[in-house]
Amino acid sequence: MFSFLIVASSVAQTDWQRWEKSEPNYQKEHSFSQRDYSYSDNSFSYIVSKTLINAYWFLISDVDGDNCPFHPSCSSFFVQSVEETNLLQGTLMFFDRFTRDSNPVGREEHYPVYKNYRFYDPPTLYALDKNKINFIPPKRVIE
Amino acid sequence: MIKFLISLFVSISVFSQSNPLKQPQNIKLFADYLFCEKDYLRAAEEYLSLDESYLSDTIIYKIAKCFSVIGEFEKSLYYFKNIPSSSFFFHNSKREIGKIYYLKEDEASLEHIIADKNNSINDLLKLKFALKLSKNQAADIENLLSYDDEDFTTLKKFYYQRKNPDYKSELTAGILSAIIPGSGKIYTEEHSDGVTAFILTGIFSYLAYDNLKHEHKFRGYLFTGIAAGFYLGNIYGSVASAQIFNAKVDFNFLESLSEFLTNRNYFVKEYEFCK
Repeated sequence: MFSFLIVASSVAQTDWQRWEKSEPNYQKEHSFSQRDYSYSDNSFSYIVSKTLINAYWFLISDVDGDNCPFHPSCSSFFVQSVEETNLLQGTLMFFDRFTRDSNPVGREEHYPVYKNYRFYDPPTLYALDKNKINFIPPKRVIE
Repeated sequence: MIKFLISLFVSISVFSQSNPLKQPQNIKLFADYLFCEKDYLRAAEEYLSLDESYLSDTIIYKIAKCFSVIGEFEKSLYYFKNIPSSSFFFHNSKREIGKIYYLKEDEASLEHIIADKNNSINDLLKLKFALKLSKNQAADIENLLSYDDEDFTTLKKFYYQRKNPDYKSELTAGILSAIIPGSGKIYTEEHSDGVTAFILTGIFSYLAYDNLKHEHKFRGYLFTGIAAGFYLGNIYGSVASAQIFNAKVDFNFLESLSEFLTNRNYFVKEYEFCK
């Protein structure tokens, strides 16, 4: 019985690491926009737009900071719009997005929120395809 | 020692056989308690552990109700369908079945139980009415508009709302923005976006005009391109905005319909089992 108790207590004691003072991180988790420089399509319009945006990311955006209040960011929106539609329509969608981006009024009352605390505004809403419009009410958090 | 062990074994087995917790009336009492505590999964399990001879209509109804609440619709349907026509719960079980078919959007099965003359047709017709509205098939339910009670009156309001929704015209939005930049967005109730579009187009148009006037050709053409981009982008965006507005109208309609049905409990009567 005595030996059993010794064995059981030694096995039960698995936490051999000393308890020490920890340094908790109180900063809010922040996920930066993903920069994917690769090309996923062979169409001419996609290659043109992606090259432009890659250059913008590399030379300006990464240096300037991750400042776009929307998800996807305006630059990613442009690439995704061209991928979704074509170069002309994607460009029009981008100008429209840029107008929305320049408007600081009432965003909280208008857009759902993506998990990275940005306003969720995907290009599928603006592709003029009613079947692709998935209306999400404002302030709802998108995972 | 052997005698002691045998007597111990016998006494334990006798005790276990007569465990009061395993007696049917106590199982039922415990299941009732779990049911009233809204622990529906465990309540159903306890009821189902009862012998078949103890499964009264009330218990079968409660089992079906448990499965319905937790979303196990197939099991729930099985037990609701097992309630005999002579039972007090028969008509309400049909309403419960109708509710499940509504939630599953199973129109054919809903039609099937409506066709059965034994059922309480009015409440099931209300569900059919609501289902057609949610699927935007208002034209199929014009024959139901003659029914008249409080629920039908509300459903008729939904019907007219569905038939004449407060949509915005995509064409009008586009034309308005072509005439005055931003006005299409204001038409689709995106007021601040409309004002922003007007300002941006105005500023870049002025910059283009001013630079071309002073023979700064490169800047003039650059600003002309940007102004044209904002102008055309705004026309495009106004059309898209009208589509999104209409999607929002549909979304709000379905939300209000769902709220109405939830408040009316899908026309199912609730019994006070836990008084």
